[in-house]
Amino acid sequence: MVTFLIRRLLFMVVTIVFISLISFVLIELPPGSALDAKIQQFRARGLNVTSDVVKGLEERYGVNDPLYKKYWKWASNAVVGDFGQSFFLDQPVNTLIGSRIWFSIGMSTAALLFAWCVAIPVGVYSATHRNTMPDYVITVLQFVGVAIPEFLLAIVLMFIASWYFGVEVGVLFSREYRDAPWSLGKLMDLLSHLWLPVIVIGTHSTSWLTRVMRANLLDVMGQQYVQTARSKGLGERVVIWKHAVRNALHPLIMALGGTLPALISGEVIVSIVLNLPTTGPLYVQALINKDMYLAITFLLFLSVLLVVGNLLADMALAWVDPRVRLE
Amino acid sequence: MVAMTSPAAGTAADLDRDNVIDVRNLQVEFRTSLGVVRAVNGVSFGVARGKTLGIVGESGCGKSVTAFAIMQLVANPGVITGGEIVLRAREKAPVNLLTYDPNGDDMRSVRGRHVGMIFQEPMTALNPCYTIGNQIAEGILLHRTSDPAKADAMALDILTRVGLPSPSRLMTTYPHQLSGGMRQRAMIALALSCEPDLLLADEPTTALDVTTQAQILDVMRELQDDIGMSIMFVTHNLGVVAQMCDEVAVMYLGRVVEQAPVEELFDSPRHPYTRALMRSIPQLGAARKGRLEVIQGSVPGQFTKVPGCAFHPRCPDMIPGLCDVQSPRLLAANDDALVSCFLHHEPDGSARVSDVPTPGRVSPSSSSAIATPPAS
Amino acid sequence: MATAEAATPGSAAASAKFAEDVSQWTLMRWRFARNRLSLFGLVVLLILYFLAVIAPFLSPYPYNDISTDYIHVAPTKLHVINGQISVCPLLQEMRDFQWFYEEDCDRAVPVDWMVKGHAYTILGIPFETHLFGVTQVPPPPDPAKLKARAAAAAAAAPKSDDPLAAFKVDAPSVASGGVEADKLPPKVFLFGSDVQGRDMFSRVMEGSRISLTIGLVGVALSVVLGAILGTASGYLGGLIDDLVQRFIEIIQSMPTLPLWAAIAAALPPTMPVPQRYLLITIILSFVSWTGLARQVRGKVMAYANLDYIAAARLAGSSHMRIILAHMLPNASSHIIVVSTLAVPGSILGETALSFLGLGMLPPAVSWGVLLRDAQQIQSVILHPWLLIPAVPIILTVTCYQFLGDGLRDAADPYSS
Repeated sequence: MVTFLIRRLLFMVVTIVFISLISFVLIELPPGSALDAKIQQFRARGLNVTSDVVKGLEERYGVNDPLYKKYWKWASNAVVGDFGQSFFLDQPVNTLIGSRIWFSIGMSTAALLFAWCVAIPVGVYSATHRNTMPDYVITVLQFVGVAIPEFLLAIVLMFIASWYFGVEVGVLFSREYRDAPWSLGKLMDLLSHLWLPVIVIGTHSTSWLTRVMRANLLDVMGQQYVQTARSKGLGERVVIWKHAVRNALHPLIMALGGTLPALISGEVIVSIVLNLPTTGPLYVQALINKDMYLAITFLLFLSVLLVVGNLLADMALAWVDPRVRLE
Repeated sequence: MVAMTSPAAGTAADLDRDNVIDVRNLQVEFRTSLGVVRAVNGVSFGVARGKTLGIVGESGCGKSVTAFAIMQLVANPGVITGGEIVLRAREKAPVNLLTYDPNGDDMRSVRGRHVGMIFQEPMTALNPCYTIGNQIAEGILLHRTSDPAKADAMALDILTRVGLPSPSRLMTTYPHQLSGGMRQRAMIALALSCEPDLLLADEPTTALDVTTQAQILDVMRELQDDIGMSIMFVTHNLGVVAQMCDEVAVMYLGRVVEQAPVEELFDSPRHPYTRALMRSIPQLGAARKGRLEVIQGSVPGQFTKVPGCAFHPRCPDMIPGLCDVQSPRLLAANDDALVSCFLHHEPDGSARVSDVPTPGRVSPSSSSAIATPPAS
Repeated sequence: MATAEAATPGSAAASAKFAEDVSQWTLMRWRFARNRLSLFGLVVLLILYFLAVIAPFLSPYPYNDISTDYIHVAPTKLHVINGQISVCPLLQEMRDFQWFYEEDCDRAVPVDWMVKGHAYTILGIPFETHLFGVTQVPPPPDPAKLKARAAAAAAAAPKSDDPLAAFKVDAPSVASGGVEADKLPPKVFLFGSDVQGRDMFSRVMEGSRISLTIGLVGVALSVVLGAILGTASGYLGGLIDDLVQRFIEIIQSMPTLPLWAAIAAALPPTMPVPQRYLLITIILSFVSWTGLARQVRGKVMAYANLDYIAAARLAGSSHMRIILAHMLPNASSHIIVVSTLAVPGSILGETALSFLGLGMLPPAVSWGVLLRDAQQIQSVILHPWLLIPAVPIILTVTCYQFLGDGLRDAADPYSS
């Protein structure tokens, strides 16, 4: 188990280095830098930006350095936690990302929990009531749930929430708690605003996991050991929940690696629609403005989130399945 | 649905003895999207107390389905559509199991407690997520005690009795850490942990190599004497039957065509199908030059309905106008043997006197050769 | 039960045939045809693609035809007057800086079929005929009636001490659909109109051409990429396999949408539409090829150990021949299934990117671009028909899933 962990951690570090490289190249590659945009901006405001000043700025930001030099400069700072400066917002990237990434993590985790809490019982019900009316309804809902783009669901739910329930959408805190220090009240307030985005982000994964759960359980129900359990005289409920579901969880946890990107993507787009103070809106803004350090750091953090999530999934797999654990 | 000419009278119960279980005219159908398959089509037999009945036949003849039907665990889309299964357990009044709801408490209290079952594939019959100890104790907790410590002790005891090495360590071992033979022993321990009256063994040695197979058979026989249970041994291996069984029922296409004590069946098989089966056994030292005999023709498709006797298209002794029109019934051939064949009975049930082919058609050396396990 | 009984002798023959004479593809077709849901998906998709081909024929107006007289008009109601489907001209009214419309059914005109309209081409052939449209010009609105309505509206207008009252139009003006519009036939907006008075129906039709194909082309690209790299990886093994697999793992460790967005953001916004279309498909396939490559690799590795491949090798077949003649044909059913299941992701990807303003950009029209107008919740509350482009998206993606599921079940030789 320890060697397994060490191996996974090492691979994780390599992956993250590669991801940083790829994201750096991707975002650095397009012509035109944020500096050009900035200079344009200054000029538009009527400031006289001489070519000397431009040169000075270019040197300071290393605009004309070769790519590898820029990467090295950025990466060596990033290792010690300095991700550079946002060109557009004139703030350190750290400050900008800090709280937002935590909200993103929190929201994705909550959506994941939501997805699992719904998908497992619904999938089990669907599999054990195969070819009945509720099963058909669940199946069609699953397909539609995967087919609805998250942003659309966000719009529709937001519409319903503000129209019928008068819920304030597009914020995480009510006005009275916005600047208040953390307290139980603030937490409850956060939760009361969180359910809508969490449902929206989780819907896609829920539908998908339900389908995986149903298919797996049907698979497992055909296994010999389920008949063994029945032949002992166990009740159907014990047979399903203790013997079948436990084994069907294995592929479900493996599917986690597949749902995490969807969750994080969903989180990004939903927070844009709902205008939540998480990573999404700032990330897209940074991309459009070619605010590269900010964009790279976001992409990197989102990837790290994914990689860590996958590691946790592997560990969960080892915990659930003795065959993996003891290898 | 079908004109019932299959054996309703003349069943094993007519042999007048103490049977643990009597299966009469059992019918099981599989309703698939391609059509209805009658996997078991009027099966009748009985298992004598403390004895072993072998059920033999080609794959697909319905022998495993019969075993699952006794447990009322026929997998979807299979449905038990008729017949009765009377269980006479030691601590229980005789009861027709088919009157129980398959998902009800009554049926569940029979499973594991009065009837245990072991399966063909020891690799997949144990749940990979739980320890051996946990899986055995689970059944004990259900039927014998509610004290977990006692249940563990009982589980340990039965693991010792099936001859597993260091049983206490095995209690906390997962199935994938064991070899096939050890798993099958663990499976036997699981099935016998509540000392059932009847053990259904569904090809328990097919997936094992020959040495392990012999050991498993030994364990089963020992425990059979210990516990005093009966065994219904489903197999297609006649060598194992000769080694293990007191009586044999031969099945063909969802019906029992012959039931007889094991020596009698091997010495003088009555039904043409049984005879053909006997001839298709390879024999040591015999007929190196000749080809191994095969049963002519092939098993008809699963959706096909054969009129008359199911075996008549392949039968060398088919009586035209009779065998392809009427179904023979399973009737007593002597005090302890039953056969379902017009060569032995007139359509009205009376014994046929003429035309009975002599059993001597089987080569004289056969019985002794078969009685020897194939490669032990 | 009766049917099953009756079917028995026939299916006996069928099952005999099953095992021996029937090719793998025929078997697949049989199994597929039994699955109602996937047949439904296939039929709906075929219809949608057909509609996309003949989109301009169905559209009564050019999809980019701006008309300031018809801003945010609700879907036109169709009335049956004198046994003909008719539309009523609209009366406009400005209240609180919002246009409100009311039907004037005294002047209703019928909808005509197969009318001559703007020119277009389908598959290179020029046409001018459209399925439907309105050609008759109604008489001008009755001035007396307009006056009466204006008076009524003025009376109804709140005379409160609303601080914003000064900014509101004092006496609501009531006019018919604009001076210019009165001289033209009234317009029929089946799905309403957008902020620039463009016909949403025509736009949804036009959008289907991009939205239905971009995902497909993207997946086609990733099939090529995935098949080549997957085969190479699985067949050659060793270092190449290791490299490809690690690369795939790294790409799969990146969140899909943010990655797409990062690449798409690199495209200059001024790029011409066809070029952008092509690049977006490449971006979409950049992620989806990885899954396909893994599947193909798995298949190829499984085949590599089979006897018939060994036989081909012993017979002296070249590597290329073994791959092209023996492995890929066998993996093809699998590839088709996996790629069908990948299409929904690509379609949704394009939609999401366009919605964010990073995918297709106006003047190009795709369903995602159209939904960008629905980004503001206020706008959706006032003009719910802006959400209509979502319906074909959901329908298409659902049908692709039905189809993919059905194909997978059909291709799996172990399914019953």
